[in-house]
Amino acid sequence: MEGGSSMPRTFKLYDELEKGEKGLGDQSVSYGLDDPNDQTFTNWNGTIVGPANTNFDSRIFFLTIICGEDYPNSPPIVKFTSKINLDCVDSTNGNIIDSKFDIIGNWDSSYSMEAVLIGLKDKMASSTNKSKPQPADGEMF
Amino acid sequence: MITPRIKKETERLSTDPIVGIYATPDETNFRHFHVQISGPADTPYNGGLFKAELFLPDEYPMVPPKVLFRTKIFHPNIDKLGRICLDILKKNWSPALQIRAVLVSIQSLLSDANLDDPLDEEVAELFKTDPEAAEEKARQWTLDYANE
Repeated sequence: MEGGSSMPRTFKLYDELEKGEKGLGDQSVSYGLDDPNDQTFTNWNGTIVGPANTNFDSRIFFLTIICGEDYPNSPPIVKFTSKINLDCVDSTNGNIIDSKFDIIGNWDSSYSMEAVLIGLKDKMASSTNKSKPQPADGEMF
Repeated sequence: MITPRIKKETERLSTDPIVGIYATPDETNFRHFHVQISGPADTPYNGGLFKAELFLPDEYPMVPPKVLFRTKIFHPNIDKLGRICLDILKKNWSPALQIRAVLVSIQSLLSDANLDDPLDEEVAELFKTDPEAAEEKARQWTLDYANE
């Protein structure tokens, strides 16, 4: 028994949905259900606006997020659909390389989809990535 | 640790169950209940068994339980994601109310929809303009999704 305070999947995702719909969080990331009537809260899409003063500046990156049956005990499966050159992303398919991205690699059930997107945005702004040459804007996997 | 209040409420749900409602606590989380509500007689939901989930936030009973339908239902006060529009789940919540009262109110909502405060405008509109067609659709959804 986990103290009884851990949030069950349905309610955790429902809270995330409401937060996403109201745009309460970080304005440079957004996320929502792929199908607005998906009662299983499984398939989501997300966007990240590239941070200023980086090679990602003012570009919008699209992602898909899958929250499986075990979410939030297991992390979501996150994938870029926009082509991107980032050290924690497989440049052949857009998949996140878990070992290079702490939020997924060391997932904690209190994290959220928003935390993942903000984490990826921070990656873009990091010294390792910010000056990396990027594929043409709008190219998709 | 389970609070005395939640313990008492949970025990009563099993020793003195509500007719047509089954609520069982999750094995790993005493704040999380798996609920089944049978569609009341004389409604288009009759014969259906509707799943819902109920969660008691840490602040309960100072805040109301959260409840979501998990079975699709064609009802003006329940939307496609399972959200329920019910006053006692929001502004009319009182700590004197219990899980029981919430479940009974949801069951009554199936018998008496509130067309003046709809959550799904389109569904409410059909119930207002063509109640027969709306009830037929609600019956069909009950057969399609709540028939276990």
